[in-house]
Amino acid sequence: MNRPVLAAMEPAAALGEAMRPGWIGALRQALLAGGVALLLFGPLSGVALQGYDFRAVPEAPWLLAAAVFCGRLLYLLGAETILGAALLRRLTLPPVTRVSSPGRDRRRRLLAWGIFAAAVIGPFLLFNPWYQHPNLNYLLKVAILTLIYVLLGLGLNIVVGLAGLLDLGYVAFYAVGAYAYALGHQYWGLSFWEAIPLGAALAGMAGVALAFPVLRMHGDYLAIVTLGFGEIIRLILNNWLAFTGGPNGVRAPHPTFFGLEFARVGKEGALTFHEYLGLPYSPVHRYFYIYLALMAVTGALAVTAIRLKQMPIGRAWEALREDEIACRSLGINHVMVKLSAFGLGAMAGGIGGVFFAGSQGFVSPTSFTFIESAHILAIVVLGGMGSITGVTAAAAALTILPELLRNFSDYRMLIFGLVMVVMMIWRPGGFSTPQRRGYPVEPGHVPA
Amino acid sequence: MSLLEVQDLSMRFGGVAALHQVGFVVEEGTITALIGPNGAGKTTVFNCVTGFYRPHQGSIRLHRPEGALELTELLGGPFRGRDFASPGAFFRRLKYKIAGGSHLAARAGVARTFQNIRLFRGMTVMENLLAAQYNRLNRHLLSGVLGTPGFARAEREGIRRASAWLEFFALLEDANRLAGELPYGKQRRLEMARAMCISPRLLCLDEPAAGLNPQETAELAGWIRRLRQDHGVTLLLIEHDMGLVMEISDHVVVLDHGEVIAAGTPAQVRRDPKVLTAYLGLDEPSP
Repeated sequence: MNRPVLAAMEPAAALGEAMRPGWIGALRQALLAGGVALLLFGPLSGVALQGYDFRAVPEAPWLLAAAVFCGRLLYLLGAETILGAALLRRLTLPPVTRVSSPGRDRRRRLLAWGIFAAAVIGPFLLFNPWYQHPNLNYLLKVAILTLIYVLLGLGLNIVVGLAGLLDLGYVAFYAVGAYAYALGHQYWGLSFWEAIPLGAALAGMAGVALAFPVLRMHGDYLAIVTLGFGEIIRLILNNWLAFTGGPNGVRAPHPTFFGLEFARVGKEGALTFHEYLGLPYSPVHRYFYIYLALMAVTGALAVTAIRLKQMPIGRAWEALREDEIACRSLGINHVMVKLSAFGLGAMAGGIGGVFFAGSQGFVSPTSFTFIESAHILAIVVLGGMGSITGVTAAAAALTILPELLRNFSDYRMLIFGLVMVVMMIWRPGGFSTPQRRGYPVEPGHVPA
Repeated sequence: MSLLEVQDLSMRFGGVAALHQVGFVVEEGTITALIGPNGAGKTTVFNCVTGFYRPHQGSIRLHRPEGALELTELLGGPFRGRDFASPGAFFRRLKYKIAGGSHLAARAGVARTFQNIRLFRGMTVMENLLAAQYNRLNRHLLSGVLGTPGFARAEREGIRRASAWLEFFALLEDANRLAGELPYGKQRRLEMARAMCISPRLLCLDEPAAGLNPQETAELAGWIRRLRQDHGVTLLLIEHDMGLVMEISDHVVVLDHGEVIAAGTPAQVRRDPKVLTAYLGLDEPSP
């Protein structure tokens, strides 16, 4: 047997050869990558605006290209070493779905509760009578935003991850929830807590309303229609000046604690939270409160999402994603299953919207553009379709990463995009290894 | 007593007449085979019986203890003249127009498998069987989220039923494997096990032996017989493996060009000159 045949018989080995270009090859490839980077970054970062004029920044593209060259060279040379090759192989291995052995979820459950407890207790360590973090307001705002995205990710995960229905207009339900609170307060004086069930119900109804026309659609067609739906909602909010205030937006008051406001001085002399408890006023209280409330709601929703996966409806969603015709042949009403997926997914979006409005104090249509939908979808895809821990981690990563990169604001979107590209190359299935629950079998029964 | 009564069934796809006045009867507790050359319309009959196609003409009646059910109505066809004469027919038509669908055939007790296996490949074997029991488990959202005793009991019962069918089809040790990972023969069995989880009266198997080796085919024959004998299931199957058909079926219906050309016991059908013509392409049927 000669060598080419052998190579053909062992595709894995052949691939390994192709990925090991040798020293000279590595240098050549790195030079090529650096050259392409130079061409790309030349116009992108070589010119800087200055008032009405611009000036050349010749060093910026060279630096970036040099970074790309070094990175590529190190990567290729690293892949040459045994350790690097092994690491690379591990990273590029397609993740295999693991089935947990029945009744072995205890450690995961303990870990989840631990993270939850840490997230609840953590802020108290940064804000107590003995120590007060100077920048806690900002930290809490980021944490609140993260939690809202976790909420949205969990909701969209039902529609996209479990039921397999690509929804590009999820932001519409978020908007419905936010406006349900803002407008409900303006016209009927609804409080924040009353608005949560209302926002969830309205968003759920919007979800079902969207589901009806798309019952027979799949894939690209479904994506386009949902995209249109998201835009319709935004345009209505933008253009119905008399009702929604249009682009001027609507004020949405911050939530109150059993009727106590979080303000320095109460409205019309009403008692405020800090006066009632005899604490010195601090703007942190309000965000602290929202954070804890949101933590409770998100926790409850995460538990619900985990349970849903093990309930008949969750299994029906997944079955629908796998094969709709087989579902029908088993007596599963695919219409109801799809409607419930859209409805329940939208409800989570509505709750997220109410919290968004309450924490921002103001809503306007500019918060609900398509880019938000894309962001939420990115969370679900990065987290791994259908995985709840993955979605939580991805929501945190995609919210906190841009915040951390604020100091490099010029390159923020560049790094963000780079991370996404790297993820899609190495882990197209998302952060988490797909995991399914194993069930105990009970042999010895007679089928009936 | 007949379980399924197909009469005058006609179906066209555009200008092609797939079925022309097909009629046959499936007796309760028997194994009926539907055979015929490729393109004879066997799968079309199946799709009509299992509620996936709405025939242009004809009736398919499922006789159940609680009354006969017209399967062709389930998909909610257009209003006909006589619907306006009787309010009952009118409201039935309206009901099925709004909430009708293929799933109602399954709920009425007609289960099926597919020629090209349709499993929930990304789910485990056990989850496949639990998903099939969707209508029998506790679907209340709150009790599921809170994990009430009633919910746990229903789930346990579902697992028990699934385990029993897995044991029946010798798939028990694969319960927690992904369905898509199973070897071909086991996938075929899993599809049958999944169909049995809805406790059907009539099980329709579309080429159950396709792609199986002789030993697996022999095992399949055993399972099909046991389904009939021990579990009282009536079977309707499409099959190309004549050895299997002649061995297990009580009644054979032969289709060719969308028409029933012969029906009877395997022995009768085997001698039928029209069948020989259809299969062997003889010009003159020899006596």
